[in-house]
Amino acid sequence: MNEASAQITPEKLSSMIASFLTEMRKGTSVVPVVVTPETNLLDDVGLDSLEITELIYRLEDAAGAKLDLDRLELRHFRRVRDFAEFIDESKR
Amino acid sequence: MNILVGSFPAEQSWASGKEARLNPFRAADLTVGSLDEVLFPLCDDGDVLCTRFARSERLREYHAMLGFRHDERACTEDRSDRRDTYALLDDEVHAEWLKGAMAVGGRLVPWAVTRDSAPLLERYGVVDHVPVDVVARVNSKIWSTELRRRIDPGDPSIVTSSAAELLHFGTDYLRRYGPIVIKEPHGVSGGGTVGVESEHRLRQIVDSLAVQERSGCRVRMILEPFLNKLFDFSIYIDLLPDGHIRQAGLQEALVTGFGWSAAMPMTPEHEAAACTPRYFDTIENICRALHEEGYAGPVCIDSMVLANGDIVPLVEVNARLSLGRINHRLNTAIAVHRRKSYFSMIRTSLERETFGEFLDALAAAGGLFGAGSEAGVIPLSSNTLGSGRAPGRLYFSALFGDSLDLQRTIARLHDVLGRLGAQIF
Repeated sequence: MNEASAQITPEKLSSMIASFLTEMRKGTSVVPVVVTPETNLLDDVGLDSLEITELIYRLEDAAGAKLDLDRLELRHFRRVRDFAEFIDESKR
Repeated sequence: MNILVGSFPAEQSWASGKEARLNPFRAADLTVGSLDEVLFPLCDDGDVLCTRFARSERLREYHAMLGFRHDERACTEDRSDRRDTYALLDDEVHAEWLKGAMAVGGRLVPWAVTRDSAPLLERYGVVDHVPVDVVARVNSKIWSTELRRRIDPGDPSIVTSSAAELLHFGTDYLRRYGPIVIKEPHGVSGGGTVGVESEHRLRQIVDSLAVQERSGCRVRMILEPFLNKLFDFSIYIDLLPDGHIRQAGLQEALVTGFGWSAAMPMTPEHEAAACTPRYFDTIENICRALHEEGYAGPVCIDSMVLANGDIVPLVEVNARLSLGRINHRLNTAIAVHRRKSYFSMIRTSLERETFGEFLDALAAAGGLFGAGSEAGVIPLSSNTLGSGRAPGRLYFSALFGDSLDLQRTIARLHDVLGRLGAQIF
């Protein structure tokens, strides 16, 4: 298994999302974005529709796998842990 | 007496059938439904603004202190009621009032003629409104694209009608022009537009659209080369039923990514670069085309000036009232203070229940306009803030003399929000 297709753990995903949001929100957000496996991506960090889409595409690149968009729902963004699980399932 | 009513976003109502979206995963943003609160600068004394929920009492008093003395009618206290303001106004208690107001010369003024507002207009005797189908057609970015090609036959923008067609022409455009822009026909602000720099990303987008296409959505997307712009601006016009036009104002639009982020008066340098006789000729041609389609009413035409100095007079037509027009009115209202208004919003976790505390903190920091301070911000809305965990939006006007002044004023607002423990997203 190469690095791209290695499992994305909730911890690793948290760090990827924090770094992505910090880059996306450069110049607007005044506090560092803190993301943990329990973070609610919609309420706690206010992920909007553009950010969700950009995040999906970047994660596809990072995970080396296509996410199953037919099955992806907003509930998967409720906790980073749920989203990591969804990515993992998409790769199986 | 004008009776102003708005429901947001109007664009949703103009889409015909199920249309594919570039950003299909959308969290319900319930705070947008309360955006009607920010329409108050469009009211004169004695006009009535119908809002979904009542403005915070503190905000109402503050706005009145600044001289905004319109009446307000809140339609509901039930935050679980998902009906739009037009439907709420049809409830018996409001319908009786509305009938009475119309009988004494009241005039219903909607933010936009939509499939939701048109039945209310007709029920209350506004029989001469433009048919919804006409309004929906001219508000589509497809209509703007086709008109742009009529004005400039060399314009390379095209409309694609399937995911496969978008992939074919998108790939071709990427190779010929470099970065491209894809737009939904009825996208709201930047939510319906994406920039694409690589064939890999184009394929990802097309895959997402193909999923929606398979589930029965219609894929129609506008495709155009990415233009290196210097600034965006908009003109506000009242198009009269006989085709005559009345210019209502001009504003610069600040855009982050592809989404609206603020409106402010144009600098003299930008106005000189943008407002050429040829630009105004094109605006007249656009208005003539709108009139020929059968449209009359408020119009906002978005334009831009490119880095090479070229003017793109038609980016898109918005046949409705607009946030920039609100800022134009705000500027007129505060002109006596020799300040200009920068109208924007912040996505924040500040809760609407703490709005009074926020006003006090802002005043104490010298950041609330009019509370002993000639600089500062005018908060424009209270119900657009969230409650509990869900974030919301704070709409505000920052009054400024120069750009340094503006930076300081916004920094002070951020600082006050931070001290109250509110996050800014």
